[in-house]
Amino acid sequence: MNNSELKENSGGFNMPPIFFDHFEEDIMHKIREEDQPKKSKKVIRATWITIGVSIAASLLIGLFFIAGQENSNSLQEFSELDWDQYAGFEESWILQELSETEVLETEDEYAMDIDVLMYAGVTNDEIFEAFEELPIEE
Amino acid sequence: MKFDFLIKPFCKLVIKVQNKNLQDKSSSEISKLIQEPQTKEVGFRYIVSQYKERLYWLIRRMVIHHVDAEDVMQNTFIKIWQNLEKFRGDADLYTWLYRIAVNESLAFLNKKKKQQFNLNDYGDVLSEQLESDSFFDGSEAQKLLQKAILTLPDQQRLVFNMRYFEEMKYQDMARILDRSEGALKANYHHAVKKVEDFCKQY
Repeated sequence: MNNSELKENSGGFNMPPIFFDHFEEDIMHKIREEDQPKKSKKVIRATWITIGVSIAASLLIGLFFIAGQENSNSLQEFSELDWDQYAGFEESWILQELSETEVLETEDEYAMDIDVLMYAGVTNDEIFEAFEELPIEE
Repeated sequence: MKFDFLIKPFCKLVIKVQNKNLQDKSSSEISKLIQEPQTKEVGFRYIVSQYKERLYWLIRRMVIHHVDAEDVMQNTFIKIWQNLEKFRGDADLYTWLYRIAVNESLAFLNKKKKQQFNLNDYGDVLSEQLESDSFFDGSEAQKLLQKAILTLPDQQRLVFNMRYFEEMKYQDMARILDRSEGALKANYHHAVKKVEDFCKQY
């Protein structure tokens, strides 16, 4: 086979017969398309970034809020418990103290003890109640 | 109303005259057209209509498959459109367009090679594509020649195609590929030798 035969029909290649029919139009359409998506892609990217940042921020705020609430709850629980215990302790301590202490001999000694109790936050009623049960020696 | 039948032929005549005027335009005239925003698209359309076939065959012989050639053609003309302002009227339009098409074809082949992870010689892949290509209906001898050409490195294949199929002058090839004429002659000589050796085996 000679060279001209080998070069015939573009060396054996061909293409769809209508390939070049609307080629200019197709290229112009592609170019316009190419110009547009660039802008919209940027907008889409910016929107996604905004949405992402918003979600992340709201999640963080939510987490902080939940964590803060849990802390305050436990603090509150702790302090409530503490006060209850403290109050309970005080009450039992007072009763125990009053029932088991040696008999006070003078009025001054009573007065001094009452001062200590009042200072510790025991109310007058509680003191009177406790005293009603105690035998006071004169 | 009487002369309605004359309108269509008259319009056809006007279009023919316009096309004739466009066909006669030189590189500098095209350059003037594409530099002006109002006439940029007209100039570009002229370039597409005038050079689409020649660029298609250059690209097709490099990438082998018609679908790939279509993609590279689109990319080439998009690049041309995007860089129209950079075209200087003093340079040959044909050289400038060819250079863009060559770069796009080589970039496409390099991308494909990377996707193959270099496991196989990409020439073998193209050779397989040639076998299955519905838009290749050459004789056995033409198929053998194409397979022989596909054994060449891309640059050598490009030189061989330009010289053998398009009968391009070394001077023009040197401008397009930015290489010396001597180097291109040597390249073509080596390519011919390899193709002959390959064909002798079968």
